[in-house]
Amino acid sequence: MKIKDLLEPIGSLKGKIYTAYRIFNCNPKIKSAIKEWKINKDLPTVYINVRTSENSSFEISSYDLVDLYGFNELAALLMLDELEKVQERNDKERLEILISFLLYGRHRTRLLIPQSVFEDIKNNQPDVWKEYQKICDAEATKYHDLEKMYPRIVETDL
Amino acid sequence: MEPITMTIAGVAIVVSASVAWGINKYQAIKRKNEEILIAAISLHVEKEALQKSLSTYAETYSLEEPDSELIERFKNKIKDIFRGNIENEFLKRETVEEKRLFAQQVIYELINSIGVKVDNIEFVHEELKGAFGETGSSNGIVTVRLDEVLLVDDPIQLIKTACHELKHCVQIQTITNNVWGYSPQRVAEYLYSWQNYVSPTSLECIEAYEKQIIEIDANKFVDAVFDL
Repeated sequence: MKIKDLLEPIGSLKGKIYTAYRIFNCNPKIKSAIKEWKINKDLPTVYINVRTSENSSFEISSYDLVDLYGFNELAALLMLDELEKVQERNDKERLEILISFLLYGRHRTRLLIPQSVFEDIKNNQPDVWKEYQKICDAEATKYHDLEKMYPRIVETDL
Repeated sequence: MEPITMTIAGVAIVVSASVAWGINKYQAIKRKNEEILIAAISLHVEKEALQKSLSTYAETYSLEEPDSELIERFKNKIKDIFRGNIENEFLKRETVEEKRLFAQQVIYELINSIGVKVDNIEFVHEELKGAFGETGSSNGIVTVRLDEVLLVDDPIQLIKTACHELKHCVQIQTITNNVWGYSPQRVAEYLYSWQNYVSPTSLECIEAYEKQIIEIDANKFVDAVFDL
């Protein structure tokens, strides 16, 4: 099984690139859980113990993330991987962010902007369009490195 | 469906079976959150940490002049309706239906105070999959959905989430009809951010979510309304 086999349901190229990169960098335990999930179509129960200081920790599972925090199944496994990684790096600042994200990041939006809106802005709001192009150019350079690695990453075995 | 009487914070409330199920689940989330918070006490995990983490833009991002007016109107409206005690006003309504109608009335008053376009307000639970709220626009119809469990379990969070979602509605409207007079740069930022939205629980990296202007903007807006 290759990483590209997991990317089919993801719509945007940006989403595929991010996800491929995250899976590629997962530790073997999570990679194996992802493989199991893909083959059996059933979320494996993965527990991790998150150590927050010498004396304190909490346990969180793949099911907690799906049932309580609204993650989709693959995203839950990737989140567990991220929580493990920050502990390995002893990166307290990032751990703070991930925990805050779990506790307070429960919100979502959805909006499909019709092409006509872009046409309208392009034709009738040149100042906005100019600023929009600037943002697009700046963002494109950020993903450049990831994009270069993408064809190699997706052909990697899980 | 048969109504069920539940006791929340010492107060008996009549709820439907689906809301009761949602409340139990919400309580499970709260218990898990408390467990995490206790373990993470040394880490100073606060909402501000998330705000801080909203990456490169967060520290340099400022609300614009039109926001000051919207914030002031929301502040005044909330003060008028709740007189400093949101929970108390919700506790006066006994059933979930009464709370829902009250919340709906409050949210419409907030909407009217700034003249933003919102077509539907819905109180749901399951559909939100763990989120407090959701804003969506499809074929020009703008819908705000809020977690109905918050009506009973956490009305303060409900009102904060409503303000957050209404700021998203302002962003949506600004893209096509900038009635409040945001700068071209801000309109372009809204457009790009909405076009490339990353969900907090999506497969993309958390950094992608954190960098989004529309979330930083809505969070800062709510913090200003509630003087956080």
